[in-house]
Amino acid sequence: MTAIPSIACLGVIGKNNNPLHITLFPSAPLNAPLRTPLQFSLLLASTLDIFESRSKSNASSGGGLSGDFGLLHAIDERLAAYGFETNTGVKFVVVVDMRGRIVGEGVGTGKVTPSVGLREGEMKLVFRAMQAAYVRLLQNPFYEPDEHSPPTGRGGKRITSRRFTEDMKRIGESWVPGVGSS
Amino acid sequence: MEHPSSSSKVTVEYFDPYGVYQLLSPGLLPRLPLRNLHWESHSGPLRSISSLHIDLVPSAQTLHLPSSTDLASASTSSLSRVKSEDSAASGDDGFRIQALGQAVVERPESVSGPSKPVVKERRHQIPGLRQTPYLKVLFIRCDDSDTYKTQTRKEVREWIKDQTPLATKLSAQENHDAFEWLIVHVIVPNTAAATQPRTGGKSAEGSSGSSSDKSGTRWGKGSSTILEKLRADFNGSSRSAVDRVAQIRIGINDVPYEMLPRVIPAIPGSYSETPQENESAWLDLISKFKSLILSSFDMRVGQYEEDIREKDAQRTLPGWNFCTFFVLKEGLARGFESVGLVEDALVGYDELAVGLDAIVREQSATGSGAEHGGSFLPYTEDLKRQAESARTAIRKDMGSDDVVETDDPIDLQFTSQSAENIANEIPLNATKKRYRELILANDISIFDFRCYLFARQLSLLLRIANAWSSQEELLAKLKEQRESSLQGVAARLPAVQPSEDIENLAVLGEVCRRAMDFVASIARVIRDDIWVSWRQSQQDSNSESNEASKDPVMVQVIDNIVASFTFAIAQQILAQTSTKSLPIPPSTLAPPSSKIGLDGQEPKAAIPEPKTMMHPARSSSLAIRSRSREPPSPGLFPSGRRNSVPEQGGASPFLKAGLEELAAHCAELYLLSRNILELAGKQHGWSVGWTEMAHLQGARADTMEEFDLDKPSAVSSQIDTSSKLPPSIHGIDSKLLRTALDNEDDFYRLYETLTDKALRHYTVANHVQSVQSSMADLAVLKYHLTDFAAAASYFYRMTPFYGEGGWAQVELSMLIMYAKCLKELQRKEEYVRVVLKLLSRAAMLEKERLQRKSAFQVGGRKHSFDEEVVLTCSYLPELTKITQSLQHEVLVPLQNFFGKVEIEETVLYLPKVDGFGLQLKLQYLLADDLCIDKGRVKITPTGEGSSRDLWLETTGPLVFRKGKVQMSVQSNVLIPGAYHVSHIILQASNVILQYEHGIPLSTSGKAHSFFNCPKLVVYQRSDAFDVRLYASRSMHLDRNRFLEIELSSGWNNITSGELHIRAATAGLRLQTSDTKLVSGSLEVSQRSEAGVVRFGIMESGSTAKIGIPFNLEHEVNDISIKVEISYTTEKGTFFSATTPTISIMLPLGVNVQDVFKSKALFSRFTISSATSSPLRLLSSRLEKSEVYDAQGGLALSKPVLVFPRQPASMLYKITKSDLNSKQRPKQKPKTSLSLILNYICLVEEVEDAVIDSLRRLFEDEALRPYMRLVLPAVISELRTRISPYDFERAAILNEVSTSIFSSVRWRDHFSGLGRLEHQNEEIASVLSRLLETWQQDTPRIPLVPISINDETIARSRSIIIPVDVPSVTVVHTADLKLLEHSAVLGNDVVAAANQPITASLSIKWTRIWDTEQFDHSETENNFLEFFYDLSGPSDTWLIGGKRKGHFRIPKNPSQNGKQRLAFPVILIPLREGFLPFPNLEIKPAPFVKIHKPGHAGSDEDTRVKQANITCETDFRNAGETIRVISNSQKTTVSLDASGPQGGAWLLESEGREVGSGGVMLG
Repeated sequence: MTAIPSIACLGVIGKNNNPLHITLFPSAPLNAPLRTPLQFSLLLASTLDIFESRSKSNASSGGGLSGDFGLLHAIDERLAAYGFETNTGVKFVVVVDMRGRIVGEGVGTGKVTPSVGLREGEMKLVFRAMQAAYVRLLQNPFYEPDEHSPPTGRGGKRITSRRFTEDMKRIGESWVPGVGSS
Repeated sequence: MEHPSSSSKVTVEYFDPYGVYQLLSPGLLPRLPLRNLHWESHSGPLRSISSLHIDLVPSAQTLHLPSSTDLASASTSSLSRVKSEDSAASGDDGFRIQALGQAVVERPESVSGPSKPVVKERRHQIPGLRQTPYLKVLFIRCDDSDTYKTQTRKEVREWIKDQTPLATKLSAQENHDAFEWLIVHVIVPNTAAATQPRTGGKSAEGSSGSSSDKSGTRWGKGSSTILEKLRADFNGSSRSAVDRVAQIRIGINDVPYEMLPRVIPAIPGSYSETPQENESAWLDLISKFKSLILSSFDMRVGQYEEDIREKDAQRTLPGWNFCTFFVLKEGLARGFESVGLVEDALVGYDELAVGLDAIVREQSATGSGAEHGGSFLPYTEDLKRQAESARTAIRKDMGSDDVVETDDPIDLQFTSQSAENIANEIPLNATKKRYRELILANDISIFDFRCYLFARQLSLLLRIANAWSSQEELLAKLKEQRESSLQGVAARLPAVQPSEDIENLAVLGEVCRRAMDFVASIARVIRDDIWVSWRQSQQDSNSESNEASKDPVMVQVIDNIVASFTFAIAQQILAQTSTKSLPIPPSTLAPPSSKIGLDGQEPKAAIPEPKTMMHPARSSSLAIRSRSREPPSPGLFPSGRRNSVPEQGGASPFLKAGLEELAAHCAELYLLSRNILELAGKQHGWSVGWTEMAHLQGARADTMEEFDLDKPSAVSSQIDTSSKLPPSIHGIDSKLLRTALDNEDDFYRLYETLTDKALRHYTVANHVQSVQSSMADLAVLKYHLTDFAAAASYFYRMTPFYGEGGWAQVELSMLIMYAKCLKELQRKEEYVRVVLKLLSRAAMLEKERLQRKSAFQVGGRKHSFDEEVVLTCSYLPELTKITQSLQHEVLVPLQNFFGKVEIEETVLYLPKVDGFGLQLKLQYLLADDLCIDKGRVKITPTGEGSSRDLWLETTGPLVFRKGKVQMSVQSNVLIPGAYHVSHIILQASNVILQYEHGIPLSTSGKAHSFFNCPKLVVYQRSDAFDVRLYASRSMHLDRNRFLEIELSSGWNNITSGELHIRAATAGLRLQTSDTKLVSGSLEVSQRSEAGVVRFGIMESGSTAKIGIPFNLEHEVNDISIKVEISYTTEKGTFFSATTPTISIMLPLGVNVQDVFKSKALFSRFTISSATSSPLRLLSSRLEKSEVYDAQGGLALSKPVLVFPRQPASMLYKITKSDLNSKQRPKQKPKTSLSLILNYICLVEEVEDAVIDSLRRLFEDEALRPYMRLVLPAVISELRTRISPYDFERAAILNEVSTSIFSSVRWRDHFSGLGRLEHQNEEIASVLSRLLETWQQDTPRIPLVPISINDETIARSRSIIIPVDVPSVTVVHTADLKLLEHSAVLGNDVVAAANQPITASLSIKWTRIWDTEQFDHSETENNFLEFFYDLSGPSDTWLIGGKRKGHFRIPKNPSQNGKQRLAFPVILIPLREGFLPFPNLEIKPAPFVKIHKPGHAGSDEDTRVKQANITCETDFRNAGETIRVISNSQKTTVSLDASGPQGGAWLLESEGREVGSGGVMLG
């Protein structure tokens, strides 16, 4: 029995820094989210600061074109937040629980050693999947982006699309570290 | 050079056989460190080292040398005492524990104790860059040349020989220790050498001391000085050889007296060195130091790089060992570090770290079997020991006696020692263990390896950052050096102050960032490490490995150890990166009680809480540290670590590069430590509030159950056992953490402090969101600790932030707690405000949820981890209770609590009640029941016209439950019209929910989704009380006109009522005081004020008409008035208002033509229609007056149709009544007659017919209520559509065709009526269908046949027109009489043409029509003078005789006699035919000639103007003709064209014979 990282929370944050979507995932020992939803909300909110300061420094240095912000914030020994920003200002945040999932001795233990942690590009796949889901959402003619990120710059509704929610859930549940990263 | 310090130091070994170092050091040390070294690397750019410290170490020989001079011995030994450890260490392999480096916290000297037994030097095959001296210096004292020759030269040579074997043997191995050597000749004053010039006698005067290398061999040819000799001997022969000799003279004052040679040389003072020369000599020495050190360094680096390349290339080979590679590469890095090239060193370590990761990953990927790159220990012994001791301790605490003793004997001594070990406070220290040795021995665990690596990186980074900590160490070293030197010299130097602004904050931030990453990864490493060790030990004892991993005690131990370690790391990093440049704002942990104390409501405020009182003490982290720490050992350093006490850093908040990053990362570290603390606290069952918060969230039972089913129950039972485990602090070594976990108070205090620190750092970092989230943590904590005042102040600041940002869930949770706080604090106003906000948010979320739910209806399972917040307790009752105590009302938008408001489009009517009602459907979103005392709805008319808003109210209190609720409102006020709802107010005690809806511009937009209001048409049912306005049917043109108001009570008994009537037309004056009852029975109150008419009881079903006279300032066709009526029935008081407009235009016009005769007046009245509508004249009568009689013809037997272009005329004869003369009283008799006409307008007839037809139609009960709505609509359509032609047709055919309605769109008239209750069909369409079928079924509506009888006349319109008989002064009756009635054929008078006719004009006059009594002219004359004029067309008549003439008549009408005037005239008709008689015109003469029969017969004529004489002439002959015939018998006409003029020519004519009786005309 080894604990391997799993996704604890997926967050989509709109252009106006408003939450568009938050999905929590259970973590291993208690099979419940590691923290309360409110705490996760606050956690996501505080990553916005890092997005901001990173993009500020990116703007000055000219880097960060890919939108992948990498590790934003190691919250504690278990949780770490990774970020991605699309060029329309929508942010994806993945909070990874380093010991979120317990796998049997035989399964996949050879792949990942917790002591090593996650590799640099480990989250790319997740972000790509999230972006694909988001793009699919945008293609829905009934989805009004302005409703969710109003041009006034304040607030916005949350995403209510069932499909998007399912997508997020699937992404978060199916992610296993080490898959897809070369 | 293994100092982990940030100072760059190079060891320089000196051999001082003469003990001159004592003399030299005062001069030398101030010139250190070396500055501005430039090293040109063979790869990469030129690097410059700004300063390089030199560790001057006496060589082993020096130490072991019996002090050659007594002078030196004392001081040397004192020096060596201090340096003893160092030298001992440097003597061996170079591993040395140095107390100075890790002096983050003062460290007792005992620390070095364990590592003191240094291992024996082990010549490893691949050593690191060793700590051998870069430069070896020989200090010689050679007082004169003789000594040199005899003794010194030999000594020097021997020394060189001692060293050079190493130097010359240039193996790769030895190149690692490459060094250079230097000879320094120290000249002591008062010796012979001192008298020597630097470079021989010749250049003695001119020698510029500054460039000693220019001197010497090049110049010195003669007797060379000792320096030159030395150079010559030891500098080597080649040109390129480096100058390795330097000379320093010691000033006489610098030499202690006891060291001063007593022997005075022969030539004292022959040479004395200038200060410049002295200075340049030093410079020379220093530059030699520099160049030599650099060259040896270069040599070493080259060698290392070569080795590394070689090793790196072997990486793939089997048997390649990472540790070996590591040591080698680290050697290089250390080399870089030692010369101050810290960045290069860091790069090296970074590469190594990556390499280590790669190796570890590779090993884990390939499995534990073939370990490529060297093996690591599976676990760390220290950790294992620590874990086991903690485990034992826990077990002991648990009281379980069956403690299975592990195989490893627990070294209690060790654990107790390690528990007390201060070094644990600094977990990251490169010198904590002999890491390098372990690495070399391949005997290191990953944990240790990583710790070491990070410690090294950390120290390097700190050095780059020029952190305070490293500066301090540097200073300490400097100081130490200074202490070791002569005391006086050091005092002269200014104390070097580390300038703060050179701290590189960005790098400090980087340190923190790296630390964060490190903590995360090292925690995992520790866990693995301990588990592995545990498993191994368990496997040894019993083979159930699975059991081992489940051991709850072990879990706890590991948690504790990890927490302790990571916490300590965080604290260490924070301490090391603290800088004064970080302006941390003062604590926001303001005692919140002061705020509340103001309003005085808070009794708690009076009691000072111990916590708030402690705040100042806790404002710095150091305060806690010092409290939780052992008393500091007598420090090596006078000052402790600087801490980040905010009060000290209260400088201007300048911004520096990297400041924000640093602050942010610091804050993250604080948060990290806080999180660790929180987790640890959780084990103790101390919550910081978040778990309590969980119940506020949507952790619903059903969703949780799903997961319970999924998983086997083993997990939960496991959890149970572990949770039963009593918490312990065993395994937690971090003092601070341990203390904090000691009891709950300390725990909370530390938690709060850490959070607060994080918050303040975030504030500096400008991380807005994080500040808020930290604040949330604090608030939740305070809330949890029931410090509600403090929590409230946090919530107050936070909630708007999240609310505006769209974090509704967060805001809601905050609001819940905020509300609780305020409730506890009894701050009612705020409580109300917050609860309202909270409820509105909850409602909003509920609304969203509903939307989502509706969207998800198809879907099956609910979303598992709903983060939705659910209000668990109810707020509304509390809210209402509190608001009742408030003075004012609380206004809340209706949208806050309600999701949707729909208004039923059907207006509701109750039977027998004249009011109306509306039904509202609302979607109530809150879970609590809402009690509404009163609901009010305002409806505003949409159309123009009446702009009166109506208020509808509920009849009683309502209770709303979550979901769809209905509310019905009623109003007794009914004003028909189209409306929309503009205002909704719900009143719940003092809370007023309201919604104001503007004018519905368009149906799109957001308002629509919330508020749905159809057009509402309010109408009066046909049985309701009704007020109608008519113009009075009977009209008397002389008098005021009347308006008639018809009141019909409908189905109710009216007890009383009141009409308010106001004119809506300009210039209209209503005389309500003269109101009178026209018909019906009604008691109209007399004493009414203006515009108000009160009336009394009306039975149901009765009607009454009251008339109100009015007048107009100027004539208008239509008038409108505003009628408001309020009336009381047994069902209440009702109110209604209308603004009817009626036409007061006369539908007919009457003209009169008068013909005066002497006895009678004939008046012809022409009655025409004033409108396009025909009239039916029913009767006409001319009423006689007192003065006149009137006679008409026969009465009308059937109605006379008067078309617009076909007027009717009636002739009446008016005669003066007989009693005229007798009754000539003083008062003027009424002279005017009145014409009375009864008529019917065809319009009305048509309308009545249509209405009657419709009434019959609407007898159908279901639609009967709408009659009052339908009829006006039909009539208005009729009026607009019917044409004059239609009217004429109707008048002739006596029927109306309904085809004019065929194209009416009835629906438009009735939209907004809603639906029928039963059929669910729109009333508008029902009505329109009904009307359409009606129109098709009845193509013609016959008009009611009208016969003239009293009844119809009574119902018809009547008009009374006063007819005045005009006053005429004189009426003449003129008669032209032909005197010769020669030939009369029948009645005709026949006359011959061109024959004169004698005639007599006789004029009579009468004054009877002179009603105005023209009698003021008695004075002047008593005649009226007229003139007549008889004229005829000139081609018809030739008039002779008295054609014109004046005549006068007496003025006095009483002289009415038979006066007859006759005037002879001759008429000659000029042509044949029936000729009308000539005209006679009689006119009053403008002037009257008054003959005054004056005196003396002289008559005087005065002309007096006649005034206002009217006269009418009744010319009898008017209209008569005379037949004129020609009298000629024969006529001859010549038509000869010849002649002077040509043309016809009458030649001859012959008259007729005068016949018998014929007129003989001349």
